[in-house]
Amino acid sequence: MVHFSVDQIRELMDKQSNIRNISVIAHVDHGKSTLTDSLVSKAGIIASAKAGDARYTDTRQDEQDRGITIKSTAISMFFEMTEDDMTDIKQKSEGREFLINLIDSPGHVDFSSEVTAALRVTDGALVVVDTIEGVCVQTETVLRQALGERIKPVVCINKVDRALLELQLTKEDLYNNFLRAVESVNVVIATYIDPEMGDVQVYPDQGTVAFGSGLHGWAFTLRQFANRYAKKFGADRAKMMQKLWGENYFNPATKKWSKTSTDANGKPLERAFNMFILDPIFKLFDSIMNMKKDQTAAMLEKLEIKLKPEERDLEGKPLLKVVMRKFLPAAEALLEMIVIHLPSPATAQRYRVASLYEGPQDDECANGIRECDPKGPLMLYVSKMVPTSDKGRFYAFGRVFSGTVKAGLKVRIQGPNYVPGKKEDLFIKSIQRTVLMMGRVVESIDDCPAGNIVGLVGIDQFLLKSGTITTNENAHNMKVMKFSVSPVVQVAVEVKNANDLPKLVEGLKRLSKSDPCVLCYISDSGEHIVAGAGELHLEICLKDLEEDHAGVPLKTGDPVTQFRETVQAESSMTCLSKSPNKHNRIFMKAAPIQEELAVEIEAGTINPRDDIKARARILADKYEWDVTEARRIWCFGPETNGANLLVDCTKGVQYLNEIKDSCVAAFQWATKEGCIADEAMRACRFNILDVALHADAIHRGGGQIIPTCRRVVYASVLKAEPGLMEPVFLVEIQCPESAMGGIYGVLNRRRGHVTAEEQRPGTPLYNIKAFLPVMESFGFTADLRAATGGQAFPQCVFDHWQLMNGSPIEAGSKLNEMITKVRVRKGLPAAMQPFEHWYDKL
Amino acid sequence: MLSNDGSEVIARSIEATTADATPLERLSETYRIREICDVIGQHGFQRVALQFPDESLADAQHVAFELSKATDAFVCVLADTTFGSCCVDTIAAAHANADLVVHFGHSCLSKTTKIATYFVFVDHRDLDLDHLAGELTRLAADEAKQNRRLVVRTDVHYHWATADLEARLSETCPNITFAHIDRWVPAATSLSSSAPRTLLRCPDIDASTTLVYIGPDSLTLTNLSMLHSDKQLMQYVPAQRDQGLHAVTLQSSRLLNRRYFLLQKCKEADVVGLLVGTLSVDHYLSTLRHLKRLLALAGKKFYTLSMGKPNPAKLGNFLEIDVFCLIACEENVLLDSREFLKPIVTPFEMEMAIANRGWGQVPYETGLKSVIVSDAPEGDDNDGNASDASGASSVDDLGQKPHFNALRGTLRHAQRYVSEGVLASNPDIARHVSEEASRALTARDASGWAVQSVTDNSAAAQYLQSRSYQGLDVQEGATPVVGIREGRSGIARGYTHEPGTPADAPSTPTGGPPAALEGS
Repeated sequence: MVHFSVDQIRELMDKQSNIRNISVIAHVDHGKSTLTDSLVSKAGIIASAKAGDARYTDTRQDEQDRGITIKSTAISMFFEMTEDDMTDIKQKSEGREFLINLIDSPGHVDFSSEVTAALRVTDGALVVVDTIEGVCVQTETVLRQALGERIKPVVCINKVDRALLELQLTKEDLYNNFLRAVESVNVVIATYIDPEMGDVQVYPDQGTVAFGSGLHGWAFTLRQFANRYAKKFGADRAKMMQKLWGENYFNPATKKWSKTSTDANGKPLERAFNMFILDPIFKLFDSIMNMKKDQTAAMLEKLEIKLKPEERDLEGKPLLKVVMRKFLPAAEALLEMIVIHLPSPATAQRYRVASLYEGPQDDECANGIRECDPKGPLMLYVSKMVPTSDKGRFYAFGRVFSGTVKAGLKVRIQGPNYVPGKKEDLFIKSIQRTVLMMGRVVESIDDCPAGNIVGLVGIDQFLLKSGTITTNENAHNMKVMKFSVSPVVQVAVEVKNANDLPKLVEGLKRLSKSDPCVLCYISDSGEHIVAGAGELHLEICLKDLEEDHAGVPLKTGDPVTQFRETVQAESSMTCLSKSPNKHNRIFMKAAPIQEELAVEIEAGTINPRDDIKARARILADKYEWDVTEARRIWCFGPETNGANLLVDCTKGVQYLNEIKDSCVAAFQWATKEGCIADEAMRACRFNILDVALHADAIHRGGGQIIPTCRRVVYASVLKAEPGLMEPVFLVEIQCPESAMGGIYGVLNRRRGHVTAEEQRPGTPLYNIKAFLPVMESFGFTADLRAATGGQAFPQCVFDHWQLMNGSPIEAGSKLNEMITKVRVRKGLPAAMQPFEHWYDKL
Repeated sequence: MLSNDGSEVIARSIEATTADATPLERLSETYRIREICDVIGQHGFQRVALQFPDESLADAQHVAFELSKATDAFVCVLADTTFGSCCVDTIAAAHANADLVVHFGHSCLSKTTKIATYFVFVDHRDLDLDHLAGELTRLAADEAKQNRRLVVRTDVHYHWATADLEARLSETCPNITFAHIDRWVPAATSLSSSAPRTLLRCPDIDASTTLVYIGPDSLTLTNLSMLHSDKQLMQYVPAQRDQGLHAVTLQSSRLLNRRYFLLQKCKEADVVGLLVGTLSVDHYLSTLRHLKRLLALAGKKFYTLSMGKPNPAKLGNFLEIDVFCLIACEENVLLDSREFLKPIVTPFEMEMAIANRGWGQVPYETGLKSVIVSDAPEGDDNDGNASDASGASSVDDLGQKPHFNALRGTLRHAQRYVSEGVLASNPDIARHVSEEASRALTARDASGWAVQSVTDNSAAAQYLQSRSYQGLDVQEGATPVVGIREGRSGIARGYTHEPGTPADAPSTPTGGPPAALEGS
């Protein structure tokens, strides 16, 4: 630990080029928090009584108990480079002292929204990969997210000790393991070629991959070994690093390097990596674990490792830990890698500005971000809220991208719905305090310049989860974060005691604030619903709600899933509805839109604010729309941005523009509450084919048009082979072969089906990918554990909407029965209205 | 005016066939003609209006005939009711200049004071009194063991049985009490605020009470189950006597939950429509006044609308309104249909939402009296201190803190529209508004809207701005100039040039402009 005063840290914060903001990301249980521990114990800045504990960044009791990270936690570290090492830093820097802000993030897929929030405020990512398990689904997901945010990755291959001690791999096998992990990472990176960022693939021979053991506290990059051997071979360090990886072999007999694995006589040669790097490590492991004391002593002397008197008596694993820590200290290798290869805010913001800022790229704010200018206009993005010890209040946790934030500064707080020039979602308030947030410690600071991560006090009431803080009146918003998970698992909560209701409402508000992903709302039937990304997420949220946020006993209902109503074909006939006064008629047909288009709309790549002509072009080229029709999309719905379209296909209808607003209102209404199960519609387009209107404006007012348009939407749905869609999880399970039978059994019982099954090369483990309906996922994890003796641990993430078998309108079908149940639960009449209810005869 | 030309009302066929008619020999008994005559004779009424529910219209002429035979008074029958047949239609009665209204059939039991009223409930005689008395005795004995009381309430059609039952059971079951209904309401110029607002004289109901309702499922029962959702409620359906007394199956908690959802909608509403759904129920005016004052203090924009029975087509014309508040009698006030685009709430819910009172802490109410009770001293327009207290808190966070929109789980910043009346009475708000205005000199925005501050404080202007169609667009110079041509004539129901217009359609002399300029 480094003992610093707050003032000293504050001084470091001024040197933008000497700051590194990084996130630690990985699959669950690959050892992020443990690895972080080994860094904190060495370089963590603020001394605290708790320092040195295991899982320092897991600040919550349940995190410690369960051994998983739930919330991301930031810590600051200090690192001083040697003069020699400074030459390797390709970017600008001042002095040899570096401030490293590291955010440890959760690995469980249910909490990936925390990762997203962490990535936004950092510029680099330390991707941790388990040597044995390799690159897993969540590694890929978070890596993709990082690249999407223009975050540069470096890799640490972790748990090498297990490969040696438990699996007893040979050197060549271990090398191949490493190679595979690096290649898998690079495969993901290769799909994100971003000219602004340059090549971000990782190469062990360039020092962007570290190998080590977080648990034992040791790690190395090729750089460390190149340093040792460079003198011996009289070669340049960079050249040496090249030689230590890949198809490079050293012939000890001839003292020559070769590119082939055999010498001139056909005798096999040892790979340089194995010979110069793995060999000493293997020998150390062998001699210490097998109690070869003499050999150990000799090696220690050779490697110049000096043991303290009390450490000399150690044996076996404890000795191994001590020796390896001295031989290859993890903090040094990793921090060196971070400082050399990951960008400073000054470097990163130059290319990140385009993906961070919504406004024009040449305005004052964009320039401020690009230059990371502490004197520019304040641009700060709040990525999440962190509960304070004061109940119900939160620190706004974020990153200063431009300008300097200080206590008392009057700022504009722009929520996600803020539109420049308008007053909506905008508040002007003073910041009460700025704080440094480091693990469990919060320290007040006077101000915080661009490039740093900071906590703000006094603005939590004006932001729900995230937002932009600025001082510039013309500032646009920073781009909102895109989460890779959606809240699809829902549960209704109620208070046990009716008088506690206000506390529940307040609790839900706090819960919504404290988690980037959770959604709390009141359903149409008046129930309080909490929606989370998965079972575990929901469990944690409900526990927080009951124990912290609301603090009252709660009753939890059965989990509920949302459905989507859709159509599978074009309406078999043109549907007509007449207005209540019979003077207006709307003719309409419904038709499905392509799944890809629906996905694009949901992702926001095609959205109602697009330029009409450009959007029409895309629809015509990609989705075979008629260009004229594509230009006449009246609206998206529900909520004005859903994946249903209302299209004007009429020709020469008088007064049509007058009823557009009424039709849009009716369309939003109808698509929000479909006629089948009162669920939202999805992936439908509604073509208004013709409209007959009364000549007098008062007789074609909203009152006449809205009910009519709604009815005709429903009528056309019922004639277009309606269907019901359910959400489906993508499940990834890693397990030994013996557990596979149990997994298949559980999946079959729950309507799941396996899409891929492959053995991880070099391991006895299998990777299973499967689709599982969300409806069937409740209790899945527990079921799976029981069926496999705890050997299988699933990762579920919402993947897509899937059409359910059967016709919802055919009486007696299974689907129809299920819909009846849904309707009854919602307090609707059990039978849905027949076609004739919505349709009028000509 | 708002939805149609009224032809629908005339064309609507009411199923009142002679088959439903009561046989003449039972007419006098069913409609209690003798009683009515006595009332008329006693008070010397000159003009009597008879109000029938739609299903009894077939008997109307006979009853009217019998009454006019038996008394000297002028008797007339009121046609279509303005709001609902459960309420006394004072408006129609006033048209007929009547001094007594005889209300037949189902009633919501709201008190009307404008005109003397006599209620005839049209008794249903299918009740097996012996069976019911037996059931009640049994239940009363059970309840007595737990030291609980029974309160019996009947559907109005079975009210006749109350006296009989009371006579039979008062001795044997001391823990039974009955709710009585006043059927005679004299006209009164003003009602003291302490007088009951309903015809029902119901014993006190507390936690140790079991309610018994005699009658089939009806709005009254729904109402009852919501008002007393926390109490035990039993039902006796005379037509299904073998079921006996049974617990009510209506899911009042679900209904209440739904109301809770609507209450949230109220909280999120910036523009409120006050729907006057009655012109006769006592205190509707003071309720309206009270709500207006509350809304104004809360900075919400409100419109007062009177449109008879609300239906989706009528309300659909007011797209700018976020939520409607229906001021009507106890039974009609719970109007929740998925056919309406915007939610309709009760005055009680509106008050709860604005005053931000805890749901579930105050017992649910449907009537108007609850709203009034919390009001400042009645009668004059002098704002009492009570309402000022609630006003002061709303001034503090004027346009400042956003609130958590529990419906969507987002933060929401409520709009505040300040009306002139509030400005006059509240210097704090006035100061705030003028501060706003002084800063408000801004450039026109892109859409050509003039000074922004005008639109900021006007719900109507904001709504207009959000519409894609903002009225006639004079495309000066863009359309060719044409000469004067013959335009349309006739009235909106059917212009003379429209196909399908009946040839004998009356053309009014004032209808429509004789000629109109038509563009391309």
